[in-house]
Amino acid sequence: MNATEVNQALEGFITEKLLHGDGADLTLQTPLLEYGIVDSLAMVSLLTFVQNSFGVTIPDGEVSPRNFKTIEALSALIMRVHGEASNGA
Amino acid sequence: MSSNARDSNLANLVIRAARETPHAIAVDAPDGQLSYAELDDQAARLAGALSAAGVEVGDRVALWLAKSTRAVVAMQAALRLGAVYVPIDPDSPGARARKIIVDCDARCLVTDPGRSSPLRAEDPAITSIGSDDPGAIAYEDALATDPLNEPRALDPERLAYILYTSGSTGTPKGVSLSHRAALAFVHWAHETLAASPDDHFSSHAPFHFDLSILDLYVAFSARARVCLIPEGLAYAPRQLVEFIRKHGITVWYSVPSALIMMMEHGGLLELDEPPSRVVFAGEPFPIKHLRRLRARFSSVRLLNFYGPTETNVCTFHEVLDIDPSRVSPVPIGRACCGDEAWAVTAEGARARVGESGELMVRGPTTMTGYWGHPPLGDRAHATGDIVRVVEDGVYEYLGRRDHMVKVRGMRIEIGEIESALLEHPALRHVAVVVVGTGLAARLVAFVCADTRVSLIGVKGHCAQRLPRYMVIDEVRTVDALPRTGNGKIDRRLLTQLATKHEDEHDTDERD
Repeated sequence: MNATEVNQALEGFITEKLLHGDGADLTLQTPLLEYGIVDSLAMVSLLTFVQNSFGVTIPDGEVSPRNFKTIEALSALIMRVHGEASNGA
Repeated sequence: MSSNARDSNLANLVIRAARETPHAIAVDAPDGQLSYAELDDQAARLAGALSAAGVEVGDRVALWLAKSTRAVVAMQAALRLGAVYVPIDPDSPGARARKIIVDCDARCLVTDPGRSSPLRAEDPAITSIGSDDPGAIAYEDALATDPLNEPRALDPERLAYILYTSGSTGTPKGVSLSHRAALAFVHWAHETLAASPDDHFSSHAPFHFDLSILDLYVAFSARARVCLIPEGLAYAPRQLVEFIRKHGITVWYSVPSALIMMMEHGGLLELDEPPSRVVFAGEPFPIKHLRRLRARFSSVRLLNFYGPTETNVCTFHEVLDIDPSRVSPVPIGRACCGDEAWAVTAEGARARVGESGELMVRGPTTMTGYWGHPPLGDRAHATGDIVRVVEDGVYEYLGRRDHMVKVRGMRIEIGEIESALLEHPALRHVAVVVVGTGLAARLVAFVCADTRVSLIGVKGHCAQRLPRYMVIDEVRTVDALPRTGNGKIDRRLLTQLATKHEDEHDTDERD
């Protein structure tokens, strides 16, 4: 699992489930919260998606606007949590 | 209740509590805790700074900042001076904050570091406290001002705050409320909830939303504690349930959507010590979810409050046993707070039992008027809500009579979104409809465009002009908007089209 794969998977999920297939102009820096792409409900389904696709459980303390503001931020969080879990194992 | 509590200035609640229980915690916020003595002192000092900056009785003080002790101190400071505070959604873009500041002709803006004034060069200059702007008064300096200890004695008909709601013409509407209106509600809610100094109130709603009046002022009236939930957590179900546990919340007040989310995804029903009073308002609570809450929290008082911002809470219903055969939401109940409520049928007659009509409200909690418009006076406020008379004086909510919709309890005038969309250079005609209700409510824009527009592009356009909860969720490009026989946009057909699309996709877990 690398950052590019995570980015692509997130882009795919967001385009399909949150943008009704219209992913034109979606970038790693698109403000997900500000544009109302990710709201609370979407956050719940995103967390489930992250869990199922990458086997990464985002701790409650990390579920914050800072970490969900862009694909880039979320992807960095996933990589970090994944890394911590692997090192701990 | 002591005669002090009947004082005319809403600011006296904190002043009295600071005298009686100075060391009790008044506010627990992400940026720290304040005892009543500290809140009183900081409010007196900020009032001194506002006064030195020229703020006088009746002047408007705009608050554009995150939920924090600072925001509460600023409200208290404004009230003490007899000034009118105007809370602005901290997530709103600068363009909308500016519209509100200009509309209410604010004398002063209190904001957070990291923000700059949203005003433009051509706007009247105002004093800025706490921002990064050159010339702004630093918040710390303001708190070092000599305290202004005596609050202004006031005519209770003076305005206390203005809450801006979505406006159909594209400009937000300022609902102006007096000290009298606020206190009529606070006294009633204090008694109805049997609030005590041991209570910990949650503050889930943002400060520009009228649910916050209960959280703050009923807590202050009872010398209790209010625990502020930061904006970012307002819909994070597990953190919210953890918040209740950690802060020992005893009185919870929110829109039903938040409660449902906490039940579904946050483990609310597994709480060992749930709040002893759970109050909800702002939208109907789907009965299947309320039934689960009732069954699981058998010893918790559940109360359904009703009232648009213009009237604050004007009817209420305490949920006891729910009839197993019930399929519709519980009633909004009977008039309260000394208000009168009645329904008027389409023919203009007073609705009788079994009939439905528009709910009318008159009484002490109603607004003074919309800012910049003639006052309401003795007239009743027509709520725009259609209700059915269940039994004498008891009402059940049926729906709206106009284009106002609610998404998670937040009022949205479709016209304001459409006006913002039409500012997009590529969009010629637009119509916005809401699909779904409650948690699943979504805003779908049908547009006629000169060039192809992406959903992200339109969302970005909205995000510069509208609060986040009014940003559209989906764009559908059409050659022409369907019209009804008399030439109006056929919104019913558009809603059907959008709903059908939804079913075909059947994408999500939003049930």
